[in-house]
Amino acid sequence: MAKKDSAGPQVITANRLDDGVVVYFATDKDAVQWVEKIADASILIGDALNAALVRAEQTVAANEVVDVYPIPVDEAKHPQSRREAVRAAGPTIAYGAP
Amino acid sequence: MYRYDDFDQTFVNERVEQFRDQVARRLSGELTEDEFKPLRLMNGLYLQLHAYMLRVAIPYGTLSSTQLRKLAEISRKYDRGYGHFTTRQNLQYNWPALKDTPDILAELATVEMHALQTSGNCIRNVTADQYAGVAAGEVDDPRIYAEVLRQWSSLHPEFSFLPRKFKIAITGCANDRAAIKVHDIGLVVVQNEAGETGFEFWVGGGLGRTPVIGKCINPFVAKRDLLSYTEAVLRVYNMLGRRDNMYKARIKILVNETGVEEFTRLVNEEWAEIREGYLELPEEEVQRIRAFFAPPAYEALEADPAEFMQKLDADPAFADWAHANLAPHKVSGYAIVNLSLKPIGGIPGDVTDSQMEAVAGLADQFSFGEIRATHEQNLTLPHVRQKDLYALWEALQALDLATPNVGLVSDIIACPGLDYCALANARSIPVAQMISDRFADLKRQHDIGPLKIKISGCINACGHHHVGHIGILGVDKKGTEFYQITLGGSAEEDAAVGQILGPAFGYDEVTDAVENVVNTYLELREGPGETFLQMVRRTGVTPFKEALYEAA
Ligand code: HEM
Ligand code: SF4
Repeated sequence: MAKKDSAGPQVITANRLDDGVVVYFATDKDAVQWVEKIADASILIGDALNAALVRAEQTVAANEVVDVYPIPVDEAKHPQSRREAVRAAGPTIAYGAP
Repeated sequence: MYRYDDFDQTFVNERVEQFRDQVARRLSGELTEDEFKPLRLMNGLYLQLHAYMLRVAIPYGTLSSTQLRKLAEISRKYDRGYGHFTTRQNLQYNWPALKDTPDILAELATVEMHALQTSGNCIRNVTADQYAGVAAGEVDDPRIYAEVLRQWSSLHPEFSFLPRKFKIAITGCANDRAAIKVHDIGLVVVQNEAGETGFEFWVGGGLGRTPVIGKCINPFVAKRDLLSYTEAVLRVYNMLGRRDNMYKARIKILVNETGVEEFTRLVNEEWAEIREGYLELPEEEVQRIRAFFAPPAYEALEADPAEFMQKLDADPAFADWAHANLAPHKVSGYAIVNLSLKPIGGIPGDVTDSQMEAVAGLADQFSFGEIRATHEQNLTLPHVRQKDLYALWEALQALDLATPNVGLVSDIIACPGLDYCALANARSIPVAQMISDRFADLKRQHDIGPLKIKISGCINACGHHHVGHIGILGVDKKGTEFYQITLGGSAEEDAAVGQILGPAFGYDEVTDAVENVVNTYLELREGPGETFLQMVRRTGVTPFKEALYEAA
């Protein structure tokens, strides 16, 4: 469920339902949309964040994503928690075939 | 190998089709995530840090080459071309799409595989000694009984909603390679004085936030009583195990809170009621299942043939590998071969699709088409002629699967940690890689001798850190990764929980700390004959602590 961790700038994240891929919420496009790169996400704060969370939750009901929540980021959209940093950038190790 | 009968195949196929329907209803919105989550977990599908994760069961760690080829094909077709072998003899795919999982499960079903009982509060996939059926000195093949337990536990109506997950491991040898004492039930196949086969029952072992070594509650349960006695244990647990607190729900807590004697009395009381009933295991049934695990058609061969012995003398690299990665086979002229999934600096337990395919081919060529997965995240070819070892070794080298480090310092167990796991506090894999790189020199590794390092990224202990000779636990201190070191644990017959050394080390310090511990051992051991674990047991942790913290 959506929960607010801090009062600072945030981006909203989720996992896409059909393939599980990590996605971020962009509100500055014409339509509401989930994007794969955190760099393309919208930084939100205060009322704008709350309003976006409501819209993001609607896409859960529309079976687009699961597990919507906001994460604190800095101005360059780097997540403040290491967990979210790994989630945004992928595993920190080279995996699969060399 | 065990082969599905019509009942098994129909059951697995039906479960796939049910899941296909459930996924379709989830994607269309007919099912909410809350409704769907328990259903996907029943089919081994988790949502992890980056994506879905599918955990495929490899019952008692035995795989055919056909199955391994299918696992390779799935990883290429539906994932990113690799899989991860875990400490519970499962294979995990890290990137499957939800919409593809019904097809993946259908493909698995064509080779008699599934992902059932790999999640949730049920009796999980039963694990076994990877040398089952081939180990010198084995009392009986533990897979026979693992399969009996699998059939009994699959969809057992009483035990699908236990207080918590329930893990069973079994070994047929006094030398425990299946970590049975850290399982909810650990079984050792034994013989009594009359020469009858039965089981030692170890109950209430477990890792996680409260590590406990199991207690022996019955030194000999006769073969015919295997199911009634196991059911009695489960019934007591199901009735009395705590459901109010997830952290106190495992059977280990019940056994501790009740006391071993009282717990044993309750089991015996329950057992008395059901012992003579339908759960009695008929000898014909044991024989029927035994037939599936009949030995392959071994040739009559002399032990240690000249061509093998000559190569040992002539090629030191081959000799190093033979020394570390082979184990004695019960049949003369054959060897058990361990394939290291721990190349120096690699990711413990990861294999690529092409490696899997190549191993399947080598299994066909050299090992009667059979492969084993080990709880130490390696693979085993169980029946190789000694005279073929050199050719096999050359082929494995080309695949980067011949690192001669099994049981040595770079044969590290590591959980996925923060690189994949949603519950992690810290990364495990890169710590394993740093340590492996530090000890890359194989001569040094062989000089250090047997040393098991096990790393978990959080207290759930999927990487078995509590029972590592050196255990490493990732913790989070104010947003920074730290690693706590324990010494003196063991997962074998001399099972023990390691002792914490002192304050934790940062990500950039932990490799130095491990090296410091190893150097202290090399300095203070009574000679190369004293292993790391023996020394820790002799001296305690004090000399290690002094060297590590007082130098700083
Ligand atoms: C990435 C997804 C995973 C999740 C969410 C997960 C979760 C957990 C949790 C919550 C526990 C503690 C259970 C308890 O104490 O009641 C646990 C224990 C364990 N897990 Fe995992 N795990 C994951 C991956 C793995 C992997 C990859 C392995 C094998 C390398 C593994 C093997 C184990 C083992 C052996 C235990 C300890 C058994 C015990 O508690 O007695 N898990 N896991
Ligand atoms: S030990 Fe913790 S971090 Fe590692 S896989 Fe288990 S739950 Fe994840």
